[in-house]
Amino acid sequence: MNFSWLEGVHPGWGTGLLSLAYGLLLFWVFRRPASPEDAEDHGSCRDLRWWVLLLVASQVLLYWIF
Amino acid sequence: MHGIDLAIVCVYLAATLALGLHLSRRVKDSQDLFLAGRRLPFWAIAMSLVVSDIGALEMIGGTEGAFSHGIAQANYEWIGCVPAMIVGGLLFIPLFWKLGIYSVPEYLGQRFGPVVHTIMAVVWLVFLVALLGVFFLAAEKMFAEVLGWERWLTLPLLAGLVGVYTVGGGLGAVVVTDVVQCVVLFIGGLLLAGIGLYEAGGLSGLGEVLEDKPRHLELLIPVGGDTPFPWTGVLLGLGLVLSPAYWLGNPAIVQRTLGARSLWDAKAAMIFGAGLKTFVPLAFVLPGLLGLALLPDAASIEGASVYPRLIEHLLPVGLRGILYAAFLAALMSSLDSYANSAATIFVRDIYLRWRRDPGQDRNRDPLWLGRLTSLLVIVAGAAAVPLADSMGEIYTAFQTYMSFFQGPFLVLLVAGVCWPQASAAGALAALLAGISCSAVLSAQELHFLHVAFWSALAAGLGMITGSIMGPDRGGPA
Repeated sequence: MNFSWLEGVHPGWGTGLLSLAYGLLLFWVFRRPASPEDAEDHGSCRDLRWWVLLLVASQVLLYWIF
Repeated sequence: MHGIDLAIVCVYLAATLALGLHLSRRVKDSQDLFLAGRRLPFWAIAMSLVVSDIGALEMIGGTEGAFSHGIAQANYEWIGCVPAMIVGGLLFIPLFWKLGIYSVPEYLGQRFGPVVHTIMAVVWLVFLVALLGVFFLAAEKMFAEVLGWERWLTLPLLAGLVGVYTVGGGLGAVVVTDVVQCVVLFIGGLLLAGIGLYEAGGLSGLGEVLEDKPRHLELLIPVGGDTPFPWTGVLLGLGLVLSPAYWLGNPAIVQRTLGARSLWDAKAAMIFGAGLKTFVPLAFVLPGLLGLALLPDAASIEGASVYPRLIEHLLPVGLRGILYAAFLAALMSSLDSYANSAATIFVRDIYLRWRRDPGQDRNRDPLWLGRLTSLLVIVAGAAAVPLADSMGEIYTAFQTYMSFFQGPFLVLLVAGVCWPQASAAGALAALLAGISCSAVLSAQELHFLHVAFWSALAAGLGMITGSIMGPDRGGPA
């Protein structure tokens, strides 16, 4: 349970998989609204998408550097 | 402390008090007191979120962690905050805001019924008050070291100062003073880091010092060895469980987003806050590495003394006062946030659930009750200091027990929002399974980040089993 079986595995694999999962989640969050009700719920999420992508890019860059 | 530094600290404290008192005039009812009348703009909430999270303990502890273990300490600010804040800001906070709730236990009550509501309200209330004791204790130690003040002087002074604007002005005063505290905190932290980096010869100079400590420059550290940051724990325990549980569920954190003036402000606050969080390691992790390069006796000193030692070593009179004010800002922002949130939970989630007239407007609860509770919470926090001081190990154990709740608590929130079939029986089964799993694995001395992951997994299985096989069927709030 202490994940010792992952000893020797590069942390990049874990980071990559987690980033992929978050990426898919964000892709779903920023989907085009299917109806006016959906637009009311998700429209402001789309307003924020460029800020979020900038933030995600900065995180990816930081973890890539270090 | 030099007279000039003392004057800077006094000016800062007086300005904070005056601002808080001025804002007290706007408070007319309990919604003003607990949710700032739902008038808060996104930038103020974001700054308040960040500064409430960075307590005085984190200032010292973050530097200590970086000094001892390297840049991996920054994981607590990056992977431990940013993804959860983004997901929370886009998916969870909007739902809470639309429901018009005052606290996270209130949401769980609407979703899973009165038993879960009461359990989570009591757990959070006890935790928040106990943490107030820890914060007061940190303040007392700092005042004793810097000014030589005794407990009988420090505690009434600080409790009175925070109490006046928290009791009078409520969340509005807390958030606005937090904005000032955030500015002071960042100025102080970045000032120290900038001067330190210059003294160390820039990044190249710092890199040369750390050449014989290659692990100090790794963010994600392989599994095995004695590191406190194995990458599996950082990604699975911190990134997937503890961080979301904190940013989506800690009432002191979530409450200010519920006071946003619009749905967009509630969402944007979390995103902007995540942006600010990206820069926090510059102010409170980098100094730990600088301590290795700049302090002449770095090999023999304790990590906890690195930050105060750097202040003494690097800064002239005058600038030190700004750093002391920053330390107080970190401390007061946590104290006022936790006090306001604890009062909200007691009044809304415990007391008035049994006492309120069913036909009464939920936003017109008596103002005096909220203010009196805020005052009592602060007094209780200050009164807990001798307990926290004399029973250090028990207090640490208490905090460990509280961490047992985080995984199950997150499962309740996620299932409540995302799974319509989640039921009250499932919620109770999740709490039971998750807490039991935490207790068993902690007794086996498994790393606490791994415990958090397995505990959330056990709670998830409990939720599914209880919801499918339990007597009631759930439904969205």
